[in-house]
Order: sequence, then C-alpha cells, then structure tokens
Amino acid sequence: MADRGDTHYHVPKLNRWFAFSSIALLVSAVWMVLFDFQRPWKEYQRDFREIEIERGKAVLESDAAQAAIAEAARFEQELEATRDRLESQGGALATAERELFELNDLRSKADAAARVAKQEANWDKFLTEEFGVHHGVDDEGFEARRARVEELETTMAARAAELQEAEWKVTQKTREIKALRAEIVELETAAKAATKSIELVQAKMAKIAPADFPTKLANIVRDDIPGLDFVGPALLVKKVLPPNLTFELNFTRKGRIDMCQTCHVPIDRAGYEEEAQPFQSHPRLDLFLSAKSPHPMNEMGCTICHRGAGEALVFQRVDHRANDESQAKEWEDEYHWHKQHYWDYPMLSADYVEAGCIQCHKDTMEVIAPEAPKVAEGYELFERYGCYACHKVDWFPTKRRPGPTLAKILQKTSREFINAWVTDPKAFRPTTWMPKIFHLENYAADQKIVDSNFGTGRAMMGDEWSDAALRAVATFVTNRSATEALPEIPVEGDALRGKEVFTLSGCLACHNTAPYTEAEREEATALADQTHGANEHGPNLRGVASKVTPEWLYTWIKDPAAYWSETRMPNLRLSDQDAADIVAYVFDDPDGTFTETPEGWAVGERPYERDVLEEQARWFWNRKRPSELQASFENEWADDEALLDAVGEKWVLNQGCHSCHEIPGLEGEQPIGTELSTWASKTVDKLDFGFVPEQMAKDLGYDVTGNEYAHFVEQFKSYRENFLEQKLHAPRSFDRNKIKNPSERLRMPWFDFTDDQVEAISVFVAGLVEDEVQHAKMVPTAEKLATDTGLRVIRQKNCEACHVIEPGTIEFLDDDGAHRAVAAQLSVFDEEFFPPPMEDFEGYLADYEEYWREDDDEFEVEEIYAQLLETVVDIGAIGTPFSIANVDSIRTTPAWGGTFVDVVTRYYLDAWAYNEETDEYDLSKTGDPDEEGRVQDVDGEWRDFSEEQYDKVRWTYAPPVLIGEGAKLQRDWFFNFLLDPVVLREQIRVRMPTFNWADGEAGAVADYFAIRAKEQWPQEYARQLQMQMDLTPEEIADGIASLGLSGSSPAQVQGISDGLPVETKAGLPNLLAYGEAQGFEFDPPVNPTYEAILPRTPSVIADYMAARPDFYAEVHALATDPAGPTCVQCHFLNGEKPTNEAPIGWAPDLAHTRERLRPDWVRQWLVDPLKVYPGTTMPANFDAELTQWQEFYAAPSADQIEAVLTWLFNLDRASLRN
Amino acid sequence: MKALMILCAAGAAALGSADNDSAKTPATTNTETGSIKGMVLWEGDRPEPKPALEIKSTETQGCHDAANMDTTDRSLLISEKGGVANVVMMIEATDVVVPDAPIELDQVGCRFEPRVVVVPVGGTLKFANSDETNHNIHTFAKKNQAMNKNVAGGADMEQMLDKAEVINVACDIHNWMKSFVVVTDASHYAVSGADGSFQIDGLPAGDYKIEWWHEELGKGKTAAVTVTAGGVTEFTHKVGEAKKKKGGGRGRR
Repeated sequence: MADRGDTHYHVPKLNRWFAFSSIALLVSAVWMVLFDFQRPWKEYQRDFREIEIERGKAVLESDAAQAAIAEAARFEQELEATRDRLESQGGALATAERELFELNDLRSKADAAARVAKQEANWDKFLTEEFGVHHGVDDEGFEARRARVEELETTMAARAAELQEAEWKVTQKTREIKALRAEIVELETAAKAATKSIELVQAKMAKIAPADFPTKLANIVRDDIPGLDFVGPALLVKKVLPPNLTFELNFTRKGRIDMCQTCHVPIDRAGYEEEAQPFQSHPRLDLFLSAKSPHPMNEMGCTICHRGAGEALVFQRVDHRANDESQAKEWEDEYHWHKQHYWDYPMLSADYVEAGCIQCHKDTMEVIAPEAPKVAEGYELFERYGCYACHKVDWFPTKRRPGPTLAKILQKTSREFINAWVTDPKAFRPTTWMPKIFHLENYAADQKIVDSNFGTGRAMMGDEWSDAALRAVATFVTNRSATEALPEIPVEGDALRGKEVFTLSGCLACHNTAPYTEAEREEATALADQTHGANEHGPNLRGVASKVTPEWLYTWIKDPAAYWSETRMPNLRLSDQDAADIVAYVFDDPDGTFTETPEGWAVGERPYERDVLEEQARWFWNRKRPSELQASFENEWADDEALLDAVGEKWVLNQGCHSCHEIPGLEGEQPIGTELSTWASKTVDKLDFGFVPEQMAKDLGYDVTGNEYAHFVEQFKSYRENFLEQKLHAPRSFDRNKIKNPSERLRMPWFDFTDDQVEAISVFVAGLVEDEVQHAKMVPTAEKLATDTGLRVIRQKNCEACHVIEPGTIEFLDDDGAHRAVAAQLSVFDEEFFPPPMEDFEGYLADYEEYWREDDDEFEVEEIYAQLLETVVDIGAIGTPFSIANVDSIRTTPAWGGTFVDVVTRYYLDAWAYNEETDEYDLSKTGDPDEEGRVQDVDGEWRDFSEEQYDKVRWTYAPPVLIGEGAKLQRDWFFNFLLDPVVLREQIRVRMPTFNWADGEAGAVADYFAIRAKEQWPQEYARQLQMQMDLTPEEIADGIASLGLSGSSPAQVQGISDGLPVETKAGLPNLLAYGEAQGFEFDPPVNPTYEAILPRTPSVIADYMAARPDFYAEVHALATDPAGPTCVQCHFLNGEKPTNEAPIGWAPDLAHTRERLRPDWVRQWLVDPLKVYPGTTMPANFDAELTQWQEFYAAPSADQIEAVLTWLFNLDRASLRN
Repeated sequence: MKALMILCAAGAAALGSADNDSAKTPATTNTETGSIKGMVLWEGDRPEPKPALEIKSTETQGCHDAANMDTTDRSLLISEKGGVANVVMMIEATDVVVPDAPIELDQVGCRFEPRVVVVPVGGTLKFANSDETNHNIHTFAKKNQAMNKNVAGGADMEQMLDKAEVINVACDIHNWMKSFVVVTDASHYAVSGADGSFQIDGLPAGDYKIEWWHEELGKGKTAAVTVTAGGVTEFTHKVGEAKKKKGGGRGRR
C-alpha cells in the first residue's frame, strides 16, 4: 500500500520492521522447536544406539557368527544346486507339482459333486417321508418316490467314492512331491538353524542399523525431524509408574514417575556391566529390576530406593549424587553439577544406598542383613550402643534399657569406682559401649561456661563444671542404690578348679579377656584372649576383680536376672561350688587378668568446688527466685552431700543417664534424645549445622569472602548425611563458636565411634523416613516375620557362640576349571589334630607348609580334603570326603556360629600342649590338682584326652550343631526346651543356659529352625532325586514334559536344586509329580505348625502287635541286650546311666525321643548317622549290607530300623510291655 | 555312590581268608630281586614303659578271654634289646600290586589285632570281630570315606581304601581300643615286629630310602640302602624321641 501521508507512521519503515520481526519470530520459533527437540536424553539414547550397533556388529563379525553365516550361505548354495539338479532331472518335481494342481482341481470338483448329490438325496428323502405322513405309505405314489430316493442315494455313494479316490490321489501326489522336496526342505531347515543363534541380533540390527535406504529414511523422519516425532519414534522417554508408590510434594501425596531409564537404558538388562554410565547394568539384577527379582522394575522403579527426582530428564535436575570428591569435581566441570535446591530428597551416594532398604524392610531387617550389610551393621550398632534408648524409633524391636540397672549398684561396686567410670569409661575398658559424657568439647577445660551468680561472680571453666557434675551424679546414683549387704558366699571356692569351670561352663562363649593393646594381643595365646565377634557379645572381663565385689559376682553369675531383670546374660544354673570356684579364680587371679587395670586408670572421687555446684543449681532451678535459692543453699542444701545429691539428680535427668539405666524414682522420665522415627524425611534446612561447615571451609584454606568458601558451606549444609556423620563423630561440635548458656548446650555423649561405625549408623538413620511403602508393597508373610524375629533373637541371645547354625562354604575350581561353592568343612591335615580354620585357611596352609619344609625343602600340599555338609549331586551325600587339587583356588567362608566349640575342643585336646619355647608341657592350662594336664570329666574323674580324635571330642563334649535342626526337632518340644532346658547330654560341661525370654522370642527361635527346614526341603528333594536316580536336569525336564506337564525347563530344575525361590515356587509341583511317577521316595517336608507322630498312631502299633505279639519285648531286648547293638551302652534310658562308665561314651536319654524328635529324622539317623552329622560317634547299627541281630529280631535291616523307631516313640506305653 | 559300587565289587571279589605274608610282598621271588632284612632300634635314653591301660572289669563283658585280657599300652613298644615294634617301613619301588584277598584287622579280646596294619592303595580291609560282644568300627578317615558301624560278635565287614593316609580306628564302646590303618602308595612294605625286626623281599636292585611311620615317633626317611639282585641287605634304622611334633602347623597353640 502506498503511503498516503496522513498517518503518523511510515509504511515502508513499518514494512521493514514487520519483515524483520517476522523473520526474527520465525527464527526464534524454529530455534525454540529445535531447542525443545534436542533434549540431552536423546543424545544418550543415540549414544546407546551406537553402542548397540557396535555390539551387534561385533556379534555378527565374531568368528562364530561368521561361521554360522557362512554355513547358512553354504546351505543356500546347496539348495540352489539341488533345485537345479531336480530341474535338470527332467523336471520331475515341476511335473509332479503341476499334476498335483490338476488333481486338486479334480478333487474340488468331485467334492462339489458329492455335496450336490448328498443334498439332493437328503432333500428328496425328506419329501418322501413327508409324503408318507400326509398320504400314508400305502399310497401308490409313495413307492415311486421311494425308488427315486434309492436312486439318488446310489448316486450319492458313487460321488462319495469318486471324492475318496480323488483325495487319495492328491495324498499320493503330495507324498511324492514331499519325497522329491525332502532334500530341499532339509537344506532350508539347516540354513535357518545355522543362523538361529544370531537371529535376534540380526533382527535388532535390521531395526537400529538398517541397510536399506527406505528404512534408513524412515528412521530419520521418526527421530530426527522436529514435529514428526509422533510417528512412532525410536527415541522415547521411558516412564515407570510403580503402583502405590508416592512421595510428598507440598503436603500432598503424589505418585512416583521414574524416567531414569530414559538415559540409563540397559539398567535392567544383564551384559552391560563394563559399560560407562549411564549405560551400565544394575550391579545386582538378581535382587533388583529384573522380572524374576524380588524388586522388579515395574513394581519398584528407581527413586523409592535411590531417591532423587525421578521425573527429571536433565542431569542436574535429577539431583544426582557423587560417590566421592573426585566424581563431584568431574561433574561440576562437566555438568555444572551442584545440589538441586528445589528437591528435598537428593539421591543417595553409593555408600548410603542401603538406607533405602529400611522403609520397606523394618520387619525384615535381619533377613536382608546378608544382602545389605552396611545398613544391617548400622541397625545392630544402633541397638548395641543403645541409641534407641534416647532416640525413639517407633518400630525398633528392641525395647529394654541397654545399660545395667543402678538400683543395687552399691552391691556391685563403689561410689569411687563410679566417679572414675563415668568420667571416662574407656579408660577402664576401652571396648565398652558406655559413652563419655562429661569433659567433652563444649565443656572443655579452657572454655568459660558462665560468669557465675548472674554475671556478678567468678567465671567458671569447663573442667571444674564437669568434675562437679560427675561428683554429683555419682553421689545421686549411689544414694538411690539399695544398700543391704549381699549374703556371704556359702562354700569355699577353689581357684584352680575355677579356671576350668570358667573355661568350660560357657563364660567364654560371650566374654573374652583379650588385652587392649595391639602388641599384647599378638602375644596373647590363652583361649580367653582371642576375640571373634561372638565372644565380644558381653563385656571384656579384664580388670573386673578391681571393679566388683566377690559376693556380687557370686550372686550375679548364679542368677543374673535377680540383679538386673533385663540383662541378656543367661542363667547357667551353676552349682554353688562352681560359682564359688569361678569367683575364687577371678579374685585369686594367677595371671593378673582380672586385677590389673589399664595404665592411667585411677579410682577415686572427682574434686568439686561448692560454688560451682551452687551455680549449677541456679541454672537447674532457674525458675526459683535468687533469694529462695539462697535460702536453700543455707538450709536444706547447706551440707555438700545434700547439694551434690540434688544437683546430681538434675544432671542425671539432663544428660539422660536414666534413658539407658534403671534408676529408682526416675523410671517414668522421658528419654532425652530427638525422636528419629522419620528423621530422614525432615528437610535439611531444619538441621542446625552450627558453624561447623564454615570452620571446615576455613580450615581447608578457602577465603571467607570467596565463592569456594560459600560453595563448600552450601554443599555441606545440603545433605543430612553430613550432619549425621559430624554428630556421631563429635556430638557436641555444633556448639563450636556459639555463645550458649549452660542450659542450651548439646548433650549427646561421645561414643568414640570409628569411621566405619559412624557411616553404618548414619546409613541406618538416613533410612528412617516416613512410612510410605510398607503396607502397599511389603506385607511380610507370617513365616518371614517369624524368621526375622528368630534371627534377631539368635543374634541377641548369642546362640551362635556355642552352636553352628549354618555350615561354612568352600569355593574352589574343580578339575574341569569350573567354579564351585559347596557347604563343607576342611578335613584335618596329615599329622595334625585340629581341622584348618575356615576364617584363615590360606594363613594356616602357609604355616603348615613352612613347618614341614624344615624337613623337606620341596614340601607342598598337593591336595586338600574336605567333607560335604550338604548334598551335592556330582560329589555325594553329606559326609562324603572330596579332594581339591587346585589348592590355590580355595576360598573359605566360616560356618555361622560355633566359635565356642574351639574353646572346648582345645581345652580337652590341648591339656598336654607342648610349649616349644620352654620345652615343657604347659600344665597350667587345666585345673588338674596333680598338674598332669588332665581335664575333669562330669563324673568328677580327671582324664587325659590328648590322644582322642578331634571329631570324637567335638561331638561328645562341645555344644550340639544346629544345622538342619528344624528337621530334627518337634517344634513344640524345642519351644519348651528353650523356656526350660532339660539336660540332654549329661557328659557336656557347658550347659544350655536358661534365658530371660521376652514374649514371643523363644517361639520365634523354634519357628525359625522349622521354617528354615521347610524352605530347604525342595532343594534337598531335587538334589536327592538327581543323585539317587542318576538323572540330569535335562532328563528330568524331558520326563516332566512326557508326563504332559508344561512349564518346566532344565534351568528351572537346576534352580530348585540351587534353592532359588522363584524357580522353586513355580516348578516344585511338576518336580514332585515327576518324582512320584518315578517311584522316588523322600521324607515329607517339615510343617512348622503341625506335627504328626506316625509311629504312635494306634494302627501302626496294632500292625506290629498282630504280627509279633511280643513286639515290645523283642525290640527292647534288641536295644538293651549286651549281645545286641546295645543302645544302652551309650544312651541313657529312662534316667538310667549307660553301661559305658566314661562320660565320653554317653549319649542322650532315649526317653526324650517321643517328645523331642521328628520320626523322619530319627529314621535317617538310624540308617546312617554319618550322613546326618559327619564325625558323630553314633554308629550305623543296622547297616543295610550287614544283616545282624537276627536272634533278637529276625528281619532285614530296614525293618529292624522301623521296629526300633516304633519302639523309641512308644517307650512310655506300659500297655505294650508284656 | 560310585565308591560304594566299587566297594561292593571288591567285597564280592575278595573271597577266602587273607594271607598277610603274600600281601606284604607282591613281587615274585627270583634272582633279579633282593631283600632288606632290618631292625628298628631305639637310640638314646629309653623312656619309661607306659603304664598298663586302666580297664574296669565291668566294661569287658563279652570280650574274648576277658579274664586274661592284655592291657599293655601298645603306643610305643621297645623290646629288651631295644627293638621298636609297629614301625611301618615303606618303599615305592614298583607299581602297587593290590592283593586279591582282603587284609584283615581283627578285634579279639577287645583289642585290635594287629595294632598297625598296612593296606596298599586300592586294597580292601576286612574288619573282623572275633569277640562275643559287638564293636563299633569307627574309622576317622579324612580322605577315604569315614565309617562308623556296629558289628556283632563273629561278624565282619569290608571296605576298599583308595586314598593314601593314616586312618585312626577306634571302638567307641570300648574306649581303649585303638589301631592304625596305614593306606600307602608304596609297593613294598613291612611292619616291625616285637623285636624291631622287619624284612622286605622282592625289591629290584637299587638304592632305596625307606619311608617310615610310627604312631608316636612320627615319620621320616631312612638313610639309603643298597639292594643287590639276589642279595639280602642287612640294615639298621635308629629312632628316638620324635623330632617333629605333630600338629606343628598351627594345630596346637
């Protein structure tokens, strides 16, 4: 439009502007679209596609693939040749095919004709029948009609015959063609089979790296042209919406959407372990993400465990977390990474990732412990150090006060000792769990606590403040203690014997007397001076005679719960004499173990200044008027003792002594710590870091005004883990540089945790989040809950100290170079007495070889022998010895439990131990009054056991092994036994203690073993089936298929053998059906809740009595006659002693069988005891290869076993006795 | 399983009573081989003879001729002239010839007879029980299958042993009963008699160091002995207090 001149704007100019802005708009629009289109995640997916193409190429270029392709090509060629050949043979095939075509045509026509004939005949038949009804069959027309029908039917039959003929011809011709084509078909199949292994790869490659142009072009359109990416793009945002998993967003619950896999493409696939991030496989696909794992991707997603922002698709926004400083630096450089300010739950670093387990596994912490060792350690430390006593965690299963009662503390020790102990517990016992409370950094010697008397008095310093408080606490606590004196020890103790009682009664199962310094520990050789976890359950007993009174020790070991009702120390039911002997030994203390104390330890009351106490009173009673307080100082608190007592109570409440210890009068007071139940859901800005980060940044040399300083402080304050670790390392450090009055100062005591302990506890606390998953996702079965409680109680009661609960594992490379891991124990080496230790096999082997190289330079152990503790299909049953030639490949994992066994066996066998340095036999090791190195047996005799075999002493005198105990014991007997133990093995010096069980604990232990036995049963079934019937998993899978059952594969059968839960659940019914079809007999699984004692059922007994009226008397004679197998040589029977006089030949009372044992187990035991407990002294009395004892009970061995079994389970039935 | 089958086969094959002498010298005697006729003598101060085993009469019911039971402690027997009994002398000279007949270890008078028995690898050991009472035969084998079976008076049983080791054998019912089965790779072997004498025949000519073993004195190798074809070499081996303690590795602290 031309410019009319009457406008204020200039049109051409405007046009230019318009053009310019249009272009700018277009450019920016294009830019926007492109920018929006080019997301970083697409780059990752493109990169991943490159990786896949590389891998695909590698696969297809591999020799195997090339060979396959070449082979397929060869088949193709042959095919071509064959076709040509058939062609050249006069075109027989072509002719036949043409003929078939024609025959088919004829057949169709014949078929049509036959149909028509049939229809006509049928229709006519109907009309004739109708005519007959309407007019009567006598009508003249009827006969003619009928004749016509017959004619038509004849035609129909003829047509049908023609059709048959035509069909037969077709079939014949088809066969002919098939025969002619056979060669071709065979070659086609072969060509296809040759490339089967790479078929999938080829298909995938055709998709991602197409060779043909149209597909290539389509791929570009799909993925690389903005605006067209709706047409089925290959690059896609991958979302997972795990059902019922939410998170808190601005006071509402929002469903989680995890898009992590958009970049971490192969996270749920195996085979990418070596790739760089984000293209790595998850390291534990057996546990996470894979469909078979307990945490499948679709159910769990990622962020529920890892935290971080699941909906973000940009590196920075995800709130990724570096695993260490160098990675953080790398990320800062590459991605400008820093804490994402708008996200409250940053991802957990690798060290902390196990924190994510707790939210679902509160009820199964013990069960997951082997797979989540760090958080489990944190959980255990939280319990052991009594954190839960001050810091409430609502679901925490342990409730008792962790510290001993102080209600009768004066019976145990003195006020002076308490003064010194509370001042610095570790000065007396460096391994104690009691923390240091006073003289910490916020009450440091050089720190002014307060200007006294409202600023008018003198300045009071940290050390005098602490000392006065300590004195006051000790005064108050002892004033609250009962003071009545304990009775005198009724019998005189024998210190020499006491040492033996101390060693063999079980004290050393939970306690040790290991020296505290590294150097001394290396020198220490005594059994009591070795530590190994289980014997660190109770306190180290070094110096204990300097702490407690003999009378207290006597009453304590006689009945610990009488002094402290919540103690974990069980009652060993010691006799007066045994207890007195232990006390005599401890106080006589020939080696100085119990009387010597660490250097620098001094018992005595702390000094105090009265004005400090008065000032402390002013702070504690700050609601009182000064004049009122002054009156108190002059009247009821005029005496220092009274003031100490009053201030002491305030200090106890202030520092929370009552949280851990029972103190009379303070039982109802609240603990002092913050509740931690959902601590980790608290946003990080609510945590007071004090000036710790600033100080740290300064100490690192950053300029206070610089960016680095601010960045460091900000980063540090962004993560709750930093707060936790700092708090645990230096609980009062957040008071640094702060101006605080005494009532404001931090109170958490100092535990002196190691770095590892700090991290473990922090991981645990970092996992305490608001419960958002528990009931939606995780509903543990009753059996799982019982297992968890059982495991916890076993740990807390330290059952594992005396009992082997699970066997150890030996890993090695077998003769074929395959890696094997079997439950087994190492056999005793030549010329040795004890089996090699499983915890340090390599060290032992080196020592052994070195020792024998003194004689023979080339000495080398060429083979290691071990004994199976589980059925292994290709090696044998439990107890089978096997050799390992590849000695260097052996790795051992010790058994779970049974460390006290070592104490017992060494005590018995080592009584004569030769001391090379002194060239003497070390007789001081035992309590033998004649100093001959003998050990006192339970019958009072002193005996020399040095020539006995390890196995014999181990199975006779050491606490019983509990491997497979659930299959052995009746659950209810076990439960009752735990509550009220009976003496089963009279010969054992160490007695099963009477524990102080809380509700449900004993039942959970009994349940645990029963459930374990039930869980292990399918595995044992599968292995025994394979071994006894000599079948491979492939054969079994084929056999199952031939039964018409589907869904079983060799891998599944193997999975059941390996104890994999998913395979077992899916495949066991088929396996059992197959076993039954094969006539395979196997004792039924343990039912944890129901028990049937079949040998006691009336019909079973009636059958026996009918066949043998003297059944009971016959079997009784078989079991007891001196000329028979004579069970009573070793076994007690109804309380009567065995005929063997020496306790080493004793065994449990047979009368317990009925209530105690499961019949299935007893049968196995009678058949071959060494296959149940390798090493046991119980012989096979009814060996299948020996037919014996016929004069007592004429029957094959197996029948004799059944008879004895029935007799054992009916011992109480007087009615059966003649 | 397989071992068991071999055991059965061996058991079935081994008919007739064992002839110990033929078992000891499998090689034929001809002029191409020689013999060692030797003594094992004690060197140095003699230890006090060990006291007799303390066995209560209540525990000997059913033992053959219990009234005259031999209660000698046989763990170290030195004759008046200094001969040491029950020392096993072994030479790996030729391939092991497994004797056809099983080698017998009897239980009579509630003692194992003999105290020490040698079985070449692959040989079968027959545990006999000549007492009226039952004995449980308990082998503390580490490499062969350990066994613990109650065997009635007069009965017996066999086991094939195919791994070289020294097996402690005991009867837990009669706790004093102990014996040793030396399963050896050696082709020629002998056990010294009560006077310490032993003879090994059928050795190809050559120099041999004899491997020896004794339950208390330990094990070792003798000085070289030269055997000539058709000759008999006299040889004396001296033993004394064990030089090497058992359990030297770390078995005992």
